[in-house]
Amino acid sequence: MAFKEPKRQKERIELISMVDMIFILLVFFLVNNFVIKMPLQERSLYIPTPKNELGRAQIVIQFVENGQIFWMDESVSEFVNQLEESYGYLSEDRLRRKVLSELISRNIISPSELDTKLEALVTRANNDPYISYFILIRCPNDLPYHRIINIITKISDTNYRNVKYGCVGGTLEDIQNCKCISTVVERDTKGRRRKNIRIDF
Amino acid sequence: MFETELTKKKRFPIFRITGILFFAVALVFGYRAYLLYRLPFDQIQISTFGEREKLAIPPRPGVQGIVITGPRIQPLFFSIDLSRAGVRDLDWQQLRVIDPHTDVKISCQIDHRGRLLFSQRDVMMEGHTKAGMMIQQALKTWKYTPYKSGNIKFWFNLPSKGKKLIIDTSQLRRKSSIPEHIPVYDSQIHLIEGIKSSEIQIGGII
Repeated sequence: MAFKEPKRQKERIELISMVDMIFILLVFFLVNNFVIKMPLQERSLYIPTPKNELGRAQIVIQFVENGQIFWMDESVSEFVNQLEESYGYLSEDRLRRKVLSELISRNIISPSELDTKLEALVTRANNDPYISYFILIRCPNDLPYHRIINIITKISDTNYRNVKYGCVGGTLEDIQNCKCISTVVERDTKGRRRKNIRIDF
Repeated sequence: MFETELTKKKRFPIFRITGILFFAVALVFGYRAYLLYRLPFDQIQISTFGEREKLAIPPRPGVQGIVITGPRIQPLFFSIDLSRAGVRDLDWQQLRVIDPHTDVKISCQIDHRGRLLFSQRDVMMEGHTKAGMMIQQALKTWKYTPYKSGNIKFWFNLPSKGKKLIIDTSQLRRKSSIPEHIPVYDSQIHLIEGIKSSEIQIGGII
């Protein structure tokens, strides 16, 4: 009796899997090739660093060590200008010290006053989408973090996201010991003339 | 069962593609190895610790100085102050009807409050009395914003083929009490109804 021989499956390479694998290898080597071509600096570290320039802001909030805050907004420029005109006869250094002492004694506020000012600012920003504010927050290194967070929480929750902020380290002594404080007439990005306050540390 | 010639022919391109891909990969790999071989030894691997030591604290805006944006400087406009009582305009068409040959010169003074002052001696209106009186009546009511003061001259010359009204503002000076950084621009310095802008010259010397 003749038995029927079982059908033998022919052994062969699985082409589909192999093509997949080759493509993966191809992509890997191509990418690797481009990475090699990148300069060493780019491979080692690429962090966009800010330029070393003056901080421009409409409002400066400087934390003072005893829990108070030094607040400077656009009204400061008129005040400084008046002082410059009133005490113009003083020498440059004495005028600088006079302006700083008057400015600091006038603009030191308590945390509750800061809250009121920030609430007013946020209300203004919420009512008008076309105005925008940039607030520079300067804080000493040992300042408890929650104090900054309180401010950021208040100002970051505007309807039109038109209040922006930046934090930077610095103390009131930096301002007190600044090289120069003066009013300068400058043009803004839209070409409009503004009377700004410039403080160089 | 044997493979037919047709089946063999069908499978042949697949082997060919696979082979080409193998060669391509080998080429890329070879090129990569060549690039690596060309690199200096110290650049083949990046030293983690070495690079970290070189990192400097980046400068940040606001550390070396601050600029606090102040209020926008609003320019001042020297013009006839329409908000003040009694300001009347001069009807140009009526003036042409009354005396089409009007030739009147008036030299006026603007005082520190913006009032336009002149006397009969300052008016030259020989032969054109009616038109001169009409012009004077209107000009007496004109009041300006108090940003400039000094002499201002008006020359009404209707027969002229060129400018029929010349206003000389060369002797007007801005007030010294206005800070220098605030610009003062000339705006509407006459109040004449019905005159074409092409008929007026402002700034000419009379």
